[in-house]
Amino acid sequence: MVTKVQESVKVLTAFDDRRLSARPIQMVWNERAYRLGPVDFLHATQKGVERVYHFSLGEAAGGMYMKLAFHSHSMVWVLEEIEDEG
Amino acid sequence: MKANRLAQAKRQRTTVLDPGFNAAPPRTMHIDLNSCFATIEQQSNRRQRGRPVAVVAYDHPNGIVLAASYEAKALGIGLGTTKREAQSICPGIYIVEPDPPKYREAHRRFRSVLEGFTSAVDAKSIDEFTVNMEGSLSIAAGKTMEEIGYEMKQEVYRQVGEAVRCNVGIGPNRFLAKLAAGLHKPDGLDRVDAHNVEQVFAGLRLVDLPGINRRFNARLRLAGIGSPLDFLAAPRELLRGQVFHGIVGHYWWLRLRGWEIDDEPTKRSTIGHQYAIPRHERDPEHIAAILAKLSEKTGRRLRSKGLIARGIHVSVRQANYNYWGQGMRVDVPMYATADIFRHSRRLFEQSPDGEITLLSIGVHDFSPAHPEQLSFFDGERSLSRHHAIADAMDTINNRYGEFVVRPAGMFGAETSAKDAIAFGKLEDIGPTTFLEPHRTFYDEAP
Repeated sequence: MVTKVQESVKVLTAFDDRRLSARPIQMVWNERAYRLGPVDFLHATQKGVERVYHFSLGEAAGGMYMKLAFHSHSMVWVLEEIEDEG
Repeated sequence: MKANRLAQAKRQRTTVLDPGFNAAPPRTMHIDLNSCFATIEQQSNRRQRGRPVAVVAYDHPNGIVLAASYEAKALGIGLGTTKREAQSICPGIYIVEPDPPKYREAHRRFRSVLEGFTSAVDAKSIDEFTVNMEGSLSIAAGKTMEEIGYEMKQEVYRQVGEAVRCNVGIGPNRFLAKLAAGLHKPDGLDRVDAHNVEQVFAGLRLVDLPGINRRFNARLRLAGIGSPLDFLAAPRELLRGQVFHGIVGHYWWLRLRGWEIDDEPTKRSTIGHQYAIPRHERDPEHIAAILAKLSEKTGRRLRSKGLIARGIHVSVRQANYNYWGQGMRVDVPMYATADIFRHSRRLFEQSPDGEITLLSIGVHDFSPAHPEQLSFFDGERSLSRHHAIADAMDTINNRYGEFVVRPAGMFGAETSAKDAIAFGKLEDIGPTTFLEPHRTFYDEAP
């Protein structure tokens, strides 16, 4: 079941200058750290002048799927939604 | 008489077919993604790969399925099934609302893959393309169309996503290429040309042919044409004179023989939006708010193209599935949202009483917005001033986001008429967002 969250979270991110790409590595949400798996889909939206990058990915260990958004203007990560076994 | 001519044509099938069929090497490809929206959701969420997935128009028991994964289709869930029905068939089905920006990105990546093979790429919809390989480097290098097709599949897998499969059809024209693409879903690659057209047609029904709907099927059967082979054998005069009553019959005769007649670019004739209302709606204030939002979305697109419109059409679907529509031409062309809203509301007021489930507006009869013609009857509220206000609102919304500044009439419709994908509306989709293929993101963390 997909649950809308829309909460700002802390995300450890790797930026790769050669590939011009970014990849979230670890997320801290509700004082719990989640190691993140590979990005399954990446798309962007425009919110006024702000570019928002939406990463669809799961926990490295499986379990939870999530959509994380990076707001490039305000430099904030937002956990948009999660889906778990429930 | 008609039956005699058809029987004669059937007996002489080879002589009817051979002189007319396009014998040039097939250079047209039709490529489509499978269950596009549902597949992209499976790509985005690997937990759902291999499971039933449905994308529903809105999160309501009556929300209809827009796309179902192959696993869901195998259970009988498909386009038009309601969310309630889908959950009763498969209680564990993964149901999501559409995420249009995600599907647009998939479309961009899909296009980007194809443009790596040829510049002659034509998007037919969000999930299907036609490409013409004539004169491409791949052909010049001596590759067969099948080899090119397999390479395209690999690139789609690499750049759009590992869960994404596509069908490739090869033919001498778009019609036969599309037919070929549908022969072995979900991961097919087939060719239909002069060598196998009769063999392929022998295994199909008329309604399996692209473009043959129930109405055309009935019309063909009335003329004694009961199968694709009969259709292929039918004389041009029969199709033109008695079946389609005009040039359309001649087009079908050519289309069936592999001649290209469907490559004319489609000209945009309407800009509009529609909204399927989750619950049956009769509250005039809420309907007016939805109408205002649809007007704003339509106006935004109209202005972004630098156009004004002189025609407008409003239609509704009532709860009893009756449809009503009304259009009009206006003396002072529409540009600002307020103009579109005022005229659409006037038209809507003529609709029959009762609950409605679908509301749509469209504007047409376009011309460039500048230079504008001033109206004698608009007094001080000149078009220039009117345009300037609309442009100023657009500038603010471009900077701070959609609907940050909006017409007062739109209050109450904030969550209605959300972003949606029309299957034929593609001109607004720009180039791909990212420089690198999607695959780079599959790499393990450093």
